[in-house]
Parts: sequence; structure tokens; C-alpha cells
Amino acid sequence: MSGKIKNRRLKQVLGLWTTAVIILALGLPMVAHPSHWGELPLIPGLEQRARIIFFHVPTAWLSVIAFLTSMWFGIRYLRKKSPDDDIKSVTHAGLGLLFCILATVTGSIWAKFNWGSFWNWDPRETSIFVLLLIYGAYFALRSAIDVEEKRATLSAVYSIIAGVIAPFFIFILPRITAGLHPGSADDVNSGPVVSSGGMNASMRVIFYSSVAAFIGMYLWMSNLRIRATRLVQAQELESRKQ
Amino acid sequence: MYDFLTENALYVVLLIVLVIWFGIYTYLYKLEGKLKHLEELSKKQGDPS
Repeated sequence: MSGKIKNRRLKQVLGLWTTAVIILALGLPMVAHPSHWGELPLIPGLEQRARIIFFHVPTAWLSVIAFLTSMWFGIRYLRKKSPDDDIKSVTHAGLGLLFCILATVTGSIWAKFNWGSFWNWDPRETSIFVLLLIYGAYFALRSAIDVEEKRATLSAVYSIIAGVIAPFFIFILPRITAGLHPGSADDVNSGPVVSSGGMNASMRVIFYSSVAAFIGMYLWMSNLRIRATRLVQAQELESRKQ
Repeated sequence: MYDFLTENALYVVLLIVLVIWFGIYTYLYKLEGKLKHLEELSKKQGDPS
């Protein structure tokens, strides 16, 4: 099979896979005592609102993956000084910010129906807000420096510092402090839904399929962005020569 | 109409999410095609032979 056809097939599989995940995540009934694979469990304190887990949690996880990938390419840039690593680092940081915004927006809509308000300054909300500020500052820093090499070096250092902090804000801080979010230190209802055993096998399969679909989308988007940036840079280089 | 939407709220959400997903997918698919075209064009310009 040629590379072009294989590439197209992969994208078609991703499209069908994600469509199936959406239909299963929102279409399967939630019941108190699931008796077969086509039923999802009702999680105490969350009920039907638990369906957000299929979209909100993968976006939050993916933002951390993207920030760590950005950090990885930042380290590579500092070692090899290759402009391509800078393109990859900034692309992954951008996608991390995008997924972080998606997690914030979906979480905020869910909070309105679960806690009565779009924003409650819960530790989880506060930590994601700080993370948005950190990566907003990353792009402000990049736009403030005109010299390409200096910009790449400084943002690589920044991406390393921010990448070290990101998992702390997503996975650690909200779990050791008391708050409204499921999985907070004082949560007596549902606990951290993914790891506490609140999900049955069907829910787990759909959840991890959703994570896989989001990763597929993320890889596709990063590939498009990196290729587009390379084209723009090649064009700029060409126009400078002329 | 209001009763129908209230009783089938989840399916309405499902429909909206599917429409959004098809929109994003189509956009990315078209973007991929355009990018490929530009890459080929750039390759031809760089290699006149």
C-alpha cells in the first residue's frame, strides 16, 4: 500500500473511530445496576453529567502530554539548535493551550449544571487558570522577541520550566486540596472517577477509546501545523534571498 | 417541541456534537489537501528540473 493511500486510510479510520466513540458515549443508557455491556453505571453525585468524562478528561490529559512534548522539543532545541525543534516545541505548546482551553470551557459548562455556577474558584479551576496564564505568557514572550535564535532559546527554556510545572497543576495540586471537583481531597461521593473503580468495563473501553481518538486528532493537528509553519518559513527564506 | 427537546435532550446533544465533529473533521481533511498541494508546488519551485 502506498504512503498516500495508507495516510488517507488512517484519517478515515480516525473519523469513524471518533464518530463511534461519540455515539457510544452519549447514546448508551446510564442505569443504577448495569447488567450487560450496553449499559453504563450511574456514578453517585454525577449521574448523567458523568458523560463529560469522555470529552473533558482526555482534553485535560492531552494538554499535559502536549506541554511535556513541547518541553521535550525545547530540550532538543537547546542541545542541537535546530530551528525545526523550535517549530515542534511551539506547535505542541499551542495545541496544549488549545486543549487546556477546551478542558476549561467543557468543565465550566459542566460546573454550571453540577455546582450552579460557571466559575467557583475551586482548586481545580484555579490551577487550570494558572496553567492558562503560564502558557499565555509563553506566547506573549515569543511575540515580544524579534531575533529568531534568541526567541527560540528563551522560549525553549520557558517551555522546560512550564513543562515541569504543568503535571503538578493538573494531577497533584487539585487532589491534595479540598474542593468541589470529583477527586478532591475531601470528596466522599465519586472520588477520582477514572481510578476509583466507579466505571464499569464498557465505560472504561469508551473512555480509553476517546483518549485514543483525541490523541489521533492531536497528532494529526500537530502534523498539519508543523508542515504549515515549515512552508511559511521556507517562503520567508526565499523572499529574503530575492 | 419543548416537550420533545426536554424528553430527548441527550439525543439533541448527540446530534449537535456529531455536527461539530463532522465540521472539524471536514475542515482538517480539506486543510490536509491544501497543504499537500502547497508542498508539491514548493517542491517544484525548489527543483525546476
